[in-house]
Amino acid sequence: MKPYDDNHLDKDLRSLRDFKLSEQETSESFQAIQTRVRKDKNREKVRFYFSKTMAAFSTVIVLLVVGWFLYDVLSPEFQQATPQSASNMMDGIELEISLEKKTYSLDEEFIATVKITNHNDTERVVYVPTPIDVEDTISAVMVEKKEQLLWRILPPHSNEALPNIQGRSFYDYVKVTLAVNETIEQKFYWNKELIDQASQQTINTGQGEYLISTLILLDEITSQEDYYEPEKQLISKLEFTVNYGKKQKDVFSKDDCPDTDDPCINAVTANHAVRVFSGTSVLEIENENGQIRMTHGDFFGEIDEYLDTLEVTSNGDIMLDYINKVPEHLEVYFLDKDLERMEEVSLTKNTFNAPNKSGTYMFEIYGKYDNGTVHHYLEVKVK
Amino acid sequence: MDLEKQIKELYEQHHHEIFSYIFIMIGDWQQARDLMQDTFVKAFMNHDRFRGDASPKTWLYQIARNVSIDYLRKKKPVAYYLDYYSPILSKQPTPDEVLQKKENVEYLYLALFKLKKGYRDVIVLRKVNEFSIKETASILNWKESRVKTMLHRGLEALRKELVKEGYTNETV
Repeated sequence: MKPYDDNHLDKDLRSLRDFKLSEQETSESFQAIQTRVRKDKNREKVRFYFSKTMAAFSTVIVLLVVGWFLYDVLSPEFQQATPQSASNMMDGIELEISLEKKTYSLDEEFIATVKITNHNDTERVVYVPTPIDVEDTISAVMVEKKEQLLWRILPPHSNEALPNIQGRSFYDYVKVTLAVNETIEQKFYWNKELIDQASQQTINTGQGEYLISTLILLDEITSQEDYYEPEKQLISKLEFTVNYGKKQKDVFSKDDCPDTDDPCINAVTANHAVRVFSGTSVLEIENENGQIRMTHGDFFGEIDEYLDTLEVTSNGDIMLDYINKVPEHLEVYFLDKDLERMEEVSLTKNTFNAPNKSGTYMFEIYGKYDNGTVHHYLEVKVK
Repeated sequence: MDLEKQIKELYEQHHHEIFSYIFIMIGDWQQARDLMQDTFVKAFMNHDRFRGDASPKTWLYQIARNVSIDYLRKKKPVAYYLDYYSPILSKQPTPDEVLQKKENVEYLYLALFKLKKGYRDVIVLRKVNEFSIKETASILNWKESRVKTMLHRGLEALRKELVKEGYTNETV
């Protein structure tokens, strides 16, 4: 083992900032900045005079048009239900991704469409970074949950063979050819599952803000290397939202759980969703005094007072939606009237099945998180 | 004060630290020089938008950070995105120039580059550039509580990374 001195860690970190340009580099950079600022200022003046003249004519027209569209376009319903698309272009290749709308409910089918257009007057080849165990597609498409380490590469929606896909090239890349002025299109399907980066487990995902992005490479790849760092990459991305649909009432949202120390979970069935109650929690919490271990969430009196009852059909799926924190490990127990554990319930991903017989049942959901443990409780009514 | 004088004054006061900050973030000397120039050009082209609710220095760092992020996104979006998910997946190359210039603290630089991007961001601003929690929160556009939490976890991760690399905490 090589020694380092923890007491000197701060000092060593500070010394990292002492990279300095030489006097010549400093002087050259200053000249370059001055020249660029002067040029940009001149350009800005020209643009200003031109835009002033144009603005007078265009204002009248714009006001008329804007007034006409304003009511429809600004209404949230319109935006949520309107098709969304984003595209970018490089070297005459255009990459577009589109969704049917901005907001999806959990039980709706999610399909994204990717289009690639070759605007050049010559045939072009593009490359798609694709792991060896993933199906060949015209573009890499990834969904990620915003501000959480959850993501997934999407498979194609159908197995239709596209003649433009020329098979594998180097580096697990798929080679795709585009004829002159050709546009190709492929649909991608998301089953609402994501991979948790920390545990590498697949989980069913729930409500939240998401990002979908698509990527192709325009480099000519001609040799095999251990690691290839692309130069020309084209990415298009869109934001979208998933909610519980009509069953969304009094549940946790991301805004309710801004503190990343305390985990929030919703329980979701086909027709209903409720908050899962957090009971005794032993968590490492960061505050002004540093890192401390806190026990909280103990309840007094009857636990029923704290719980919303989740309605579910016989043997129906109950999905646990992790709002702000994915547990490292989770166990679900069926409890008796005295809240004693009866038996462990089988959990697949983050979903378990309700009992067969009608009645009201209590479950304990014991979660181990990176900062401690929480005993969550859920009451379920089987109809 | 005319624009030329303002440029000179701001540049003389801050160009070394802005360059150093960008260099630590991207690990490429020449590119860091270009991005430092971009930072000052952007600052002057947009100086009328500077609201004054942060210091000019903090504002410059905000621009420098955005310029660096834009560069990394354009240059290697795959690695950039994966870097957000996991340092294990990221194949960010070792910036050799850093090692040549700072042999005595190369272990720290290498360990920093293996951390999640969020941890690296907050450690560089708080511990390398010695910004206050408030200033760091302003530059990163985070809440102050998040800065504290991320710094604590980031330093823990840094220490673990040092141990993983074969370093042990001993007074030398």
